[in-house]
Amino acid sequence: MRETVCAQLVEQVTDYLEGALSPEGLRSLEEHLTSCVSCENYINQVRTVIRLSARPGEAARTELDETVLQMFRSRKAVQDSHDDRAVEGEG
Amino acid sequence: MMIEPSKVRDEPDLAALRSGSEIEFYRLVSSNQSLMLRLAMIYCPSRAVAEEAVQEAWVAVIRGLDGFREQATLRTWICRILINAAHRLSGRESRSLPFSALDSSPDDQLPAVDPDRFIQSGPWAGHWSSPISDWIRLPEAALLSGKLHDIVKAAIADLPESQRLVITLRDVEGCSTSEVYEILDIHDGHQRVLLHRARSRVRAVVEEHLSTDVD
Repeated sequence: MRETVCAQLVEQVTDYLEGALSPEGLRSLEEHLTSCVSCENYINQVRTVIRLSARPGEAARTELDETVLQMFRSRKAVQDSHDDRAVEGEG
Repeated sequence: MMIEPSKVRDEPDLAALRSGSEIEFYRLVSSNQSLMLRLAMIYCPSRAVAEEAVQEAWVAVIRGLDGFREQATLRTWICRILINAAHRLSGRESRSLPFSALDSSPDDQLPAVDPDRFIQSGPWAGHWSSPISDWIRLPEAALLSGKLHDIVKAAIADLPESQRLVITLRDVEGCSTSEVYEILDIHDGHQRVLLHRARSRVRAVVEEHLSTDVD
């Protein structure tokens, strides 16, 4: 297998980080990394971007509409009345 | 070894939900609302419509709780309901599979890095023409500043829809590959292509910002 060069590595970085490279591909990429600081930095830049993307709670939660909660409650009320009838039926 | 966030996340107690536990319902809402809104905003023309889609999805979820089959996780089931609501409210034609529209955009074929950044010919062809900087050496403040988060957020918002969906689910919300498959019906390979393009683009935007700002 030919040695990985930088222009190829930048197209393989996601497969690398996702663990989707073939064993030979992985070996070739890691061998390249041992001698290329720029590519090592590049991969770390992508890792930084992934970290920066994950910002929990950013979208500002919308409050749950009261009608939705009412619906959830009334669903339970309907269920309870069914249950009551079932119990009465048994009695 | 990375732990997939979905493995850590608590699955809601379905039996408690079905029997009407409000606490469980609040948990369900608080663990899914942010993802739902983010997803809805990808499809809807405005935040107001996106919020309406979220509300509508909750109504459908409450109605469908008893019929929910546990082949999917609750989360992916809710997301699919949400996407259908968002499609309908934003006037898109409804599709049985929400993502038949995930055709590749011409943008998906672009290289991860501008080819001019590499030496074009000679024995060093394909190697960087100038070194790539080490962001680890940046002042921590630069990396942690809200500004960089805002730049990433804006870069994600500028991506083509299919890339935006995948990076939002995977990197912003921490969904696993299999969850994304259940929600969007996109297989691993295609997901990786979209994710690759999206991350590459966002990295380039951040790099551009840092080269003009931090020097």
